[in-house]
Amino acid sequence: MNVLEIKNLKILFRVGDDFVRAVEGVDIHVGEGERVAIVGESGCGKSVTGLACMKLHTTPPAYITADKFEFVSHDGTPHDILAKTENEMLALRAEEMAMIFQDPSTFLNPVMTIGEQLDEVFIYHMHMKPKEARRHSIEMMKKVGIPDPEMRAGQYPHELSGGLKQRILIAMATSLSPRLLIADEPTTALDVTIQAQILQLITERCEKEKMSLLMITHDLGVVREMADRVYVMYCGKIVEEGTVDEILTSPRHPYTKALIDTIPGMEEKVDRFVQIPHNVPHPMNKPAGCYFSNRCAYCTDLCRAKQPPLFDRGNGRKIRCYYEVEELWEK
Amino acid sequence: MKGYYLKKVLSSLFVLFIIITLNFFLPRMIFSDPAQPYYAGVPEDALALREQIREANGFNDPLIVQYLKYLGRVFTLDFGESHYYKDSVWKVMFSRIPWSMVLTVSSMLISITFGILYGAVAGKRREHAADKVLLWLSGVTTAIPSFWLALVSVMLFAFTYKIFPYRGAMTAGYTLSMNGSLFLIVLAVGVVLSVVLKLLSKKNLCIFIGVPVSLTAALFASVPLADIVDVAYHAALPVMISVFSGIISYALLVRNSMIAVTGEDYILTARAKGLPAQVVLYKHTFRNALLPLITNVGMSMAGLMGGSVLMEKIFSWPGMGQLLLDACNNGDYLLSQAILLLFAVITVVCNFITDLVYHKFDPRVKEV
Repeated sequence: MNVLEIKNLKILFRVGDDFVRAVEGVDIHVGEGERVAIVGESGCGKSVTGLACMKLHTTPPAYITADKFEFVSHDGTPHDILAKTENEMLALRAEEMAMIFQDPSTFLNPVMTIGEQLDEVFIYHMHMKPKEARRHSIEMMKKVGIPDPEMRAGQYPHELSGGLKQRILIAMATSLSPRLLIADEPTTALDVTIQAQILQLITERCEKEKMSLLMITHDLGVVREMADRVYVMYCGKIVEEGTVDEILTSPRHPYTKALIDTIPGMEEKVDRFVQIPHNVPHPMNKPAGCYFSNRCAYCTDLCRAKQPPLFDRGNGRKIRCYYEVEELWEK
Repeated sequence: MKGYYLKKVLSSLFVLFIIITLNFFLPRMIFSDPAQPYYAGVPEDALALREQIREANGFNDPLIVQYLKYLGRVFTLDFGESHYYKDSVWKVMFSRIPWSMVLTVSSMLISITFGILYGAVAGKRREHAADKVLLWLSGVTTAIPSFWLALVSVMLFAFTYKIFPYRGAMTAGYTLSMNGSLFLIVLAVGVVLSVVLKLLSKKNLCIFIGVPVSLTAALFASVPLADIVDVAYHAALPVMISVFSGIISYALLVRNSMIAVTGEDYILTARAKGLPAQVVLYKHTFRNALLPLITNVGMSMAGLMGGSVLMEKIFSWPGMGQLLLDACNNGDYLLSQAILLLFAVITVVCNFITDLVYHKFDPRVKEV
């Protein structure tokens, strides 16, 4: 059963008199207990998609449409997220779906203590008294491995390290054991040494609370660790979809292949890092045909002329490219 | 932490020392002879008599001795006697301070209250009518100096339409028949009551509401109602004029910081937690947006007892600003020295208090 099912999601942002098409018709589904990753470069629309799941965009400037945007809560009732009012969303947030953000140092309120910020979840969702809420907060802080939680609860965010702050955000997001956890690049702002611990913690929390995970990242290493299934996004469209092993070992879209090629290997010695030529096109100025055509090594006239649809290649594998992998790699 | 406050106190004392020194040299720079105000009534050719006065008041001592003597007098809070008012400087000043405070405290309280409310509305509904009007008004108040506005409104409301009086603080004179001891008793009882309430209920709100309420109660208990109404009637026009620009400037400040804070990441976290919009606004946005206001209020606190020289002059309000101006015009420099020193002390103390308060509200500011 799917916890989250989105069909043909489109997100537009109003900029002056113009619209930026941040997301152009994306299909995503997350199964129960499944760990799904969305991978892509900055500006490809992956974070925007994550925020849309929680309905955290404000309209204007954001305009969201979808053929289907269904979230199934713990009790099995399906919710049409787009039809929900802001007040109806309040009950879903934190209780049914929660989010961990990128930079723990800016996502915590600097003038409130850690304890106060954790308490709020219990006070406003479980209607607890402050003392009782604090007891639960301390309990949560223990669960995410924060040493001396009583002391930390009285401290302010600036007194904690980045890793601890991210643990606090994870505690905050998972304290009501939501059905779906959305993690928006949770390790990007952290030290490499802390990253593995935080990923480990997220996996642990997901398994213990039986949460589904939607991981948004640009780091293929994180994808290998954290995901069962992967969506590769480029310029607001999904270009490849498949299981993590398939995508990482036999990429079939030129963009995915290029991404994987950029990872420096341990064995061979290289003078220069491999990079994908040119930049991501400006969102107001995307190429006419395939969005990757101006950077693709295998680009043909057909690619430049017409946007390829997402071809279903069986076994849940979908690729937005006209060519089969064998023809491509031969060229 | 202690080291920080010690440093603050020391630097404040240094500022005061500089002010005192400047105060000492000012009359010696203004007049060719600093003893000039002492010669009142003495003809210019009575040189012997003049010399006598100089000698008697210590103007013939070496400068350094005079300076040290002045420092000693300041240290013992002895500011001497005003020549013009023929009374102790302390007495003259303290007869005026309450009058300044009538204007400044009331206009500041009104400006802050309505400024915050207006700013919050404008910041929350950006680009809507209230916000556009605020931006337009801030242009207007910047372009029109308040003394001009004051002059025009005196002309319009006091002379042409005779709605408000054009000068003074009361219909006759400026001495309130105030029952001083009753005032102090009521104030003390009120303050003690609010402190007890605070200790019982552990809510700081008791102090914030209790103290102003007991102050008002004390005022109404000790001053005849007719006098209060009379003063309020006289104060209405000057207060309205300073409130006009005050509200706009506070509102603009709050509006801008509201908009800045609304875009902060932690507001997104608060929303993602599923907090109701009102809670996000008051507990998260507002608390952060009001931080710049603390600095601003602290700075204008310094003007509370000083009053506004321009406003008091235009409305002939018997306050400190007017007193300073008169003292300068009359060459009454013992008085002006004391007033300047008082202003400096108030400014320094207010800055110090602002520092302490800011630290309470923003835990990030610890040691600079």
